[in-house]
Amino acid sequence: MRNRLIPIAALLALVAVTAYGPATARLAGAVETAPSLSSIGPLTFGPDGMLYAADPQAASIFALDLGAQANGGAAGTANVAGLDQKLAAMLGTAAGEIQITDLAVHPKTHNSFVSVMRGQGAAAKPALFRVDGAGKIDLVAVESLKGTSVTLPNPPSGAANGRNNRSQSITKLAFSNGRVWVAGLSNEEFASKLWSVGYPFSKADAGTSVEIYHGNHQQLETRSPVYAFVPYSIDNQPYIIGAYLCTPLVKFPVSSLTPGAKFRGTTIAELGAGNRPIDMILYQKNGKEFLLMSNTSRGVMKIPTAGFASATPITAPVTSETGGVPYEKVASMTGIQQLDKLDATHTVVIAQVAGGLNLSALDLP
Amino acid sequence: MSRRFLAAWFVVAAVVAIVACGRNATVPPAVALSVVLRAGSGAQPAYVEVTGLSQSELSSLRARHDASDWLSLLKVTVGETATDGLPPVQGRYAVTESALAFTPLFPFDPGRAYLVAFDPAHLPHPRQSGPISSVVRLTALASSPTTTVTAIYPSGDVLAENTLRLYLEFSAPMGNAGALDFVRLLDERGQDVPVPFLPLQADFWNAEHTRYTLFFDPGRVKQGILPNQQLGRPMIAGHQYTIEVSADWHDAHGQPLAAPYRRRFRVGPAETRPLSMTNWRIAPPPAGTREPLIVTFPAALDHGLLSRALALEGAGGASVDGDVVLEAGDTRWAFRPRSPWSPGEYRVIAQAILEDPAGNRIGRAFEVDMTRSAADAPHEAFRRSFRIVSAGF
Repeated sequence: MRNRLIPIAALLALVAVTAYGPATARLAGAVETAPSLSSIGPLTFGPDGMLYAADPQAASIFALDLGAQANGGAAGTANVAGLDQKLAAMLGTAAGEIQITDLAVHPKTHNSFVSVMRGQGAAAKPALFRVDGAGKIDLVAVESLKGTSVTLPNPPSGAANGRNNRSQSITKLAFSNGRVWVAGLSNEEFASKLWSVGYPFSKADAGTSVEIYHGNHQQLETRSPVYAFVPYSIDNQPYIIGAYLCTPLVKFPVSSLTPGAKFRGTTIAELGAGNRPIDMILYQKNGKEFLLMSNTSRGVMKIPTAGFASATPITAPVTSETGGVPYEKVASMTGIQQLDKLDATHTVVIAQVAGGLNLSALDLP
Repeated sequence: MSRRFLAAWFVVAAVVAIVACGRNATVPPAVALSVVLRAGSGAQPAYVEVTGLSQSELSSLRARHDASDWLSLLKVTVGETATDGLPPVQGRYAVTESALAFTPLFPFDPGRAYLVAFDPAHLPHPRQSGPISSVVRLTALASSPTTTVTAIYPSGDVLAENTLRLYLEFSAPMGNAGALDFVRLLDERGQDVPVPFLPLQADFWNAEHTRYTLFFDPGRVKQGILPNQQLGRPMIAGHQYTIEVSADWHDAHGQPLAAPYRRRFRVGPAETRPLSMTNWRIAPPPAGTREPLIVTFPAALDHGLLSRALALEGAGGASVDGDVVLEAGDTRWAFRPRSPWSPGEYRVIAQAILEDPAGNRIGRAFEVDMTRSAADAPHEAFRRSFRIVSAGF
């Protein structure tokens, strides 16, 4: 693992967010500042407003101090219809040429930050946007931010010149108790790994990687990637609630995750086949706590967390469509591609509608 | 002429010139204003220029600092016509010695139309003429479908019933789209096998976007969990299947594949045993030569992992440099050293991540019976020794 300081771009102080600015030097020979991130994927905020952004292409996590760019003109997040077309237009292209890779809400301003890849294939470039409470969209000048980064451990390439086609896709980030947690998938090893590294990133902390096995239902133990997860607390002990592909919900106490060792999580629900979880948030309503989980093919699920501590581990084959901790399907939320918690009573989502993607603030169900 | 070279050329789609009327004695002399698209060069991407501004107008623009003023003066939007609610292209404004320039933060797309609107009424000393607009576009890339599927791994005639993943290799870089909309698994009757693959549009491309990893749905491959019980495995031993790749899958230039791709194969029994290095046949070449060392496996290993998870070390643990070729449907690993072999002991090193196509690793099957297996300590790597001897011994 390595750490590096992101160079502070020598930009005019006035060029804060929009990158509009009166560059008065001759244009000829001017060079665009290269973005420090080679790609941008999942985002998460720390409680102090530090933005953690995954750069899957570089298998790195960046901690970005947004500084003045944390704040839009208005607090909150207003609805934006045709978000994909608008972001694409600002990037000088069409909606089909961009991929929205994540959505995260700033914990203080409640502005929404949207990560985007512009272009096709290996030539695609990263961009980061902020949407404020008036629906104003600003492009964040990432290269002008101050921050640090850490690189995830890459499995060794053994052969001296063996062709290495491995790539790392990072599926989810979360910040909890001073550590950044990372779930990822490789295009070669089908393994279940969670990394975590303390923040501030330092050379002394190389981060830890834990392999979590899924004890399934015929006394067979297999590997399967944890796709989405959320830090959680049971009896004041830190836990991770993770959702695997196809779609067991599993809990594991952080204290048991010993670096370099394998660990078997406890399955507390089976949420259905042919599906992957997208996002999870925790929220309170009417004095009860819920996990809201969006999925690719099984809609949005509202899961009471009251039973998580005492849930009976699923150790026998589930013959019904789902099993374990009960949930309620939120029929009003459809086509959800990204989801985060906006405030105590709202969620913000990016949803597929006819003709494009809309950013909307919705009441928490 | 390469595509990239072509892309560097530009056209001026329209040049609109106006002449200021010059009725106001305080404004600069009447000069024709033009909007032009300038070619990119080196690290400088193509940019838009407004020419015809007087030296005094350029001087006053240099003193301008408010971003919103620039936008009211010169605005670039995507498309041939102004669309309500569509924000302008983000970019940088610069005043050169002879013009006002706008460089987009991300290079203009070849072939895409951009509407450039310039309003002289928002000059520091407004001109009386009305706004001008011009549609500009870079030359579209001259491209035709040429990209093809070059291989699918495992490449053997028979795939294990519990095969975990396929690698699809292409002759040129592909676009962003994943495989799910473009790859079908067909049974012997030509019928689609329902939902055979992992329902995940993740980025399983290699860095160059020339190889895509397509995972079978592990919920169906693994035993004893719900998808497996409900639907069974996607492929059944004893039957034939066809993988079909649609030509509608677009490459990095937005072109479809030159042709659809089909491959037929048989499916054999599930492979559930852990790998064992003792089953590998090692054929050491004679010392003093650069003949390849051949390691033969009883069955194919995973193509991607085999390319990088095996290595050689010599006396004292020094790594041996050489070139690797995978042969015979990934059942053979051929290693040709950069320097001639020396007599003595060598070791084949297998990283613990090495797997067969069904996910079985050395000493650990993909699925482990928890009632029989003791907890195993994670391994970094496994080694097996062999000796190189001089010819004639």
